[in-house]
Amino acid sequence: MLGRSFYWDKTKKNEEENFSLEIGTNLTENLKNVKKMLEDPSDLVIREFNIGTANHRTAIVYIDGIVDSVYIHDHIMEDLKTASKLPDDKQKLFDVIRKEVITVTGIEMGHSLDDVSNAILSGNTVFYLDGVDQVLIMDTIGGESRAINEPQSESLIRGSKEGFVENIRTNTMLIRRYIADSNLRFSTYKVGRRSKKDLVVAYVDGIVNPDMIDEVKRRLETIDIDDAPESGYIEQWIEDSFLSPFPQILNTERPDKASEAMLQGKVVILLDRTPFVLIAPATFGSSLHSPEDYYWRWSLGTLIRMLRYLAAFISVFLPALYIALVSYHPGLIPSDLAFSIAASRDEVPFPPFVEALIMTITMELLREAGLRLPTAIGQTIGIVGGLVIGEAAVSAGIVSPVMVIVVALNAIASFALPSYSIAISFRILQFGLMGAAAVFGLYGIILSYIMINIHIVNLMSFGVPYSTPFAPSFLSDWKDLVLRAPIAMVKKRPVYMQPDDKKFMDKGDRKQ
Amino acid sequence: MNKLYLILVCCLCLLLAGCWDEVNIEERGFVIGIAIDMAEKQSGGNPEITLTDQFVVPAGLGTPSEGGGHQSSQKPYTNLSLSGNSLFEISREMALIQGNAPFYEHLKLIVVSEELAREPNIFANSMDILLRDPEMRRETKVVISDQKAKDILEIKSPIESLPAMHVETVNENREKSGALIQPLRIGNLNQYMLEKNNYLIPRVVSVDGKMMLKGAGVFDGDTNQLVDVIGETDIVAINLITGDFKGGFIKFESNDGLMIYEIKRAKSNIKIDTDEKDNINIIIEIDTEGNIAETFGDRSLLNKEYLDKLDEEISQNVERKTVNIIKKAQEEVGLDFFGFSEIMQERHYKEWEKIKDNWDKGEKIFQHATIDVKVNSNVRTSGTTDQTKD
Repeated sequence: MLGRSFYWDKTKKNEEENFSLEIGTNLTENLKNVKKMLEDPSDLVIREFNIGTANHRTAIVYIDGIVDSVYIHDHIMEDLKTASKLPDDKQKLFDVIRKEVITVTGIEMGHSLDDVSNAILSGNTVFYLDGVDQVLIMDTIGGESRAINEPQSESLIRGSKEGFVENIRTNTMLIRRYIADSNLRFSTYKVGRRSKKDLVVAYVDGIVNPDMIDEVKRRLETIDIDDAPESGYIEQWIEDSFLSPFPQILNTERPDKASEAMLQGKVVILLDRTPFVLIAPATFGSSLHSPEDYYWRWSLGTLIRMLRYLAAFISVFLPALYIALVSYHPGLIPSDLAFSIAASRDEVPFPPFVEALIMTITMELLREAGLRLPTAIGQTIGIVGGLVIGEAAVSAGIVSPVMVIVVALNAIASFALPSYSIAISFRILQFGLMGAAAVFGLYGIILSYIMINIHIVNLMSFGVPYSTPFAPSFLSDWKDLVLRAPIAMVKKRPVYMQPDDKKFMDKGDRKQ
Repeated sequence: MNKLYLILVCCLCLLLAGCWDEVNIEERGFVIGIAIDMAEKQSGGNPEITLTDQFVVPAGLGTPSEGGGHQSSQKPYTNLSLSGNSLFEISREMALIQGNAPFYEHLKLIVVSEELAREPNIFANSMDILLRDPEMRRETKVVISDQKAKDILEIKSPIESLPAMHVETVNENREKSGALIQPLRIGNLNQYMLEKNNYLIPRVVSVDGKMMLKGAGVFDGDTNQLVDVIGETDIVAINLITGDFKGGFIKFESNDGLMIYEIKRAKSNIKIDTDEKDNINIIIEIDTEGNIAETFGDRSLLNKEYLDKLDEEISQNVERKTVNIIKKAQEEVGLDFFGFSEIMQERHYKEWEKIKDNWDKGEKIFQHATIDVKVNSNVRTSGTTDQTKD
């Protein structure tokens, strides 16, 4: 029944879709074709009017809302109406209008209905002149968009407060402002069979390795989907290994982070309608870096980096270590602590693994719930979850107080990481490690650690080993890895990126 | 699909293999101290030993949720004594009585009664399991007690909630008192027993129901038997000779009244001349530095001549003490427990190889060795005031 009704719909549509894909000389026919193709949507604006002494019939067509209507009024309508000394010949008139009358900067010729529909659907305005089988496509893209705001997911104490927005033009503008280099390149692609979104590959020619660019472009050209609503689609389409828990492409909302990556020889991929741009390739080390490391003096930057590596360790290993020590190796805990853990676990009915699982899952729930809610309520959830549930669970004897500390520390450590995607991948690994610790104790943790390492050294991101510059090791890159050497000492761009231009600066000596 | 099954089977095998020695922390019977005594009843054949394990009762220590130092009504420990021939056997028997099987990785203290230590072989034999068992740690301290060792584990400490921990705490006071010798780790004991060196073991006594570290027992490295007991005043001298001095004081009578010289730093340099086999010459140079901690006199300490005189008096005092204990070692005990043998082994190996069987056994070369002590004491400061009265 349902099938049949769909079938019927289809046949009916085919009958109606009986229109020409060519642009004819008859204006009325042409406008009818446009209406038919789009099924005359309510936001389609067709404005017909006459110009010149011969009263030639013309029309402009655009879709309301995605155009800049003030701009259309000032630069198209006004110009056309006030134009004088227009020739009478239609083809001549058309050329004069294109070359002399209209003051819109972006102007192109269109020859088919496809050109017209693509143009108006992406915010252009189309100009028809009766008796001419060509149209003018004028760039009037505009409409409402969000203002530049502080990036929500990556706010820093020191550093630019500008974040990327949904509008790709604004985003490219932001990058241009950071890198005013003539070698800055924006290669534009259309992504999505139906959505036809703009995708821009940004890089600095002369720094980036050409093979890297070729590979990125090759992968981007394979994209064939209806729509890519967010850059996550692009990321998942072009990443190397979809089975790996580690993010092989970084994302950021910060133009300073993106442009800094480009100066290191990396490639930035921007997609329209999302503030998250992609940085490829990613390495394990760079996932733990934050732009703020460079903004503070090097001693603080170094300290923060080391703290972050510690946080990474805690967020992966802490619950597993607790389980292993408590279940298998109490001899490794200092005596007084061992007795106090034993005392606090006296009433707990579950083995440490189940206890840890309960608490970490609760933690994940709280995190997830906090994300969904408005900031004010989100904080309340944090307090209710952290304090009330934690306290109640302890006094109810479901978990031991030490476990609450372990899980809380673990959660805090994972939120201290600068990249949400790497933090999440650590949280995934943490569950595996907890299982290994519950089954094999410290031995299991070591085995899993070895397995993770084997995986990391095998992983590639656009031909760059994920574990570099740890392994394969590039000594000069170690200056900007766990440590953050003083700015003037890091003269080379990352060697692992094999950039065309090898150095940031010629002389590192500040006195010269 | 087959591959998937294979992976699944492998994963399940992992689960089967795991968890074999999982014992949750609250199910462990933490043994914090053990005492080894001769059993009351001996029945011919192998000697019967009484092993006392001090189990920690974590609930009695007060859980953190009850607010830190809250003392629970429960006793924080329980002692369990059993007798038998083998310590391992006794330990396993305890698992039948105690709910939580004994777990020795947190063992801090081994108390051995002097009664047992004086018997031939038993001391060394009972140390075997404590060194051999993988659960045992080599940091565990060994002490001897003048009475039943199990009674020592019953003495309540005013500060520590566990009696066995008390010895650890007292041992940390070496910087304040020179009357404590270096605590003996069971790892070092193993070394001494293998190298047949004589050694000292700290001695615990009970005074008016309080535990006190007092003196040390001298053990023969050959038979691992307790030979003699030396008092706490001699320990200061031993520490000064061996150079293992962490802090302490010398009390002496100057012509201006009683004075206390607190030793801040002490160094010893032992030179052994092995040219003549029958007359080994040992020179011990002791340098001490310190301050006048207390004086009952009223003379100013800023007078250089007076200070020099004090230096002299202190040196003589120290010398007298050291000569005393050396004399005792040579004449009464007849054993070298200062570690001269180790020094010779390290620095004069060839000569040592020749005399090692006759050092304090056989021809007893040690007893006839000439031992000279040179002391150079130095008073560095008079404290924060020169005179407190006029």
